[in-house]
Amino acid sequence: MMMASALATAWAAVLVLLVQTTLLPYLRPIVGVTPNLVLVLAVYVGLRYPGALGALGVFMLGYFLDTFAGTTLGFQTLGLLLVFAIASLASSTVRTDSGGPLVVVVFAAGCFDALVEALLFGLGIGGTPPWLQVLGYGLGQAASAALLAPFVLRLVFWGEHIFGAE
Amino acid sequence: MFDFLRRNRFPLTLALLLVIAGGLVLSRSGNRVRNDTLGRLFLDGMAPIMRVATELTRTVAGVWNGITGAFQLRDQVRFLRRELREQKREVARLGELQLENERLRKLLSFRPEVETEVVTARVVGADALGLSRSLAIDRGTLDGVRKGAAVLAPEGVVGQVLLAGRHAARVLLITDHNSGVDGIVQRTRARGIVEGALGGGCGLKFVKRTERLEVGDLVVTSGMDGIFPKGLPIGRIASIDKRGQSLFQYATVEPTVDFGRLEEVLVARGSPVRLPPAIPEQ
Repeated sequence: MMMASALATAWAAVLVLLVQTTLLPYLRPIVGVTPNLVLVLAVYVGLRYPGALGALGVFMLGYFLDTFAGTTLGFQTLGLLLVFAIASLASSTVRTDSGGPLVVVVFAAGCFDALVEALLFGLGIGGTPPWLQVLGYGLGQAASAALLAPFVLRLVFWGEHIFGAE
Repeated sequence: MFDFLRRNRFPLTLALLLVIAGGLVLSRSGNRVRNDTLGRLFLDGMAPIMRVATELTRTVAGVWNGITGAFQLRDQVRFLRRELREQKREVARLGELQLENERLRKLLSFRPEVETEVVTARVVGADALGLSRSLAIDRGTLDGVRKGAAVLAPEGVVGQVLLAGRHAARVLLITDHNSGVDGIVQRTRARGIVEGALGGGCGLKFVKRTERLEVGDLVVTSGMDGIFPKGLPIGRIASIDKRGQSLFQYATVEPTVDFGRLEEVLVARGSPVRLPPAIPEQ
């Protein structure tokens, strides 16, 4: 059962990465921000699989994202791993079987991720844009990711249905 | 010892991965080009999917434009509505082909101006998170695309190859905050560095305060950075800031290339710096 459930999450990860790299970039000119669905997945994995395998999975997700976003290798990987670490600490208290709590946790995690990014930019790591703008963009990204969190959860449930993990 | 490792597998793995990620950030910070094998593999793996997704998006946009056009004409030519819809679909398709044809012709006519060997590439994706300004193109090392190579369009400078896979590459745009191009103001020959701004435009830095810049001045590449050929348009000065007591003035630059509408680009393959093409002041 656990194996099927992990496969379902991996399946959702593949779909999320496809959507993130192909469709979501086209949203930026329309809504002003590109939602970070990979962040939702990192939170979900942290809540659901708080272990070494989950950490490795999130590391790979971050590395993949680093290939298609930004310029500094490891930037997204570090942010997602920190988000995963915090989510795994909260795994015993937050349920992942409904969208509501996940939306709240994803928003909080997105805000934390934005703070980490702004801090790194503020220190001159990853470029030198105004860190306040980075923070603003990150908060917008956190809100949009939180709104789309139920969609990611649906993808996972769909995967569980396919792999017989329900 | 082994028991300790087994019991603390999760925190130890997490700590190790955090150290690796932190190490990557610190070691790669400020690099304008990347050469990581895993990244190249990811890029190559995604290239065909991104190509298909981009084609689909463009087709949907074409059909959408056709439908919009039909609705606008509905009141005026009500009795021709059905035929018009069919025609519109066809017109949208042909229109896309015609536009593509014009763009490719423009690219072809631009080739002789760039005195270096170039390869034409299609834009197949944008930055996945939007904070940076980058594009994915469908040409890689097998086509002669190298990391750090100049990427151009008939309208001017596009950027530089950040990561090159075998079949695809990522391009860092000149509007990215990590980008920097050595430029000169065409009218006054004043030199400066054109850097990307987070808002999407560019800024001209390190221009002496005594230089007389004007709004509308064309900024072109100086060729001194060894990446971009000399004399290619970068953008036009939109505003000038001389506030403060600094030795330099700052100007915002509106790029000549419309990155939102960029569909094909030229990637320099050979030695980057050659003879300057003549760029007339418009």
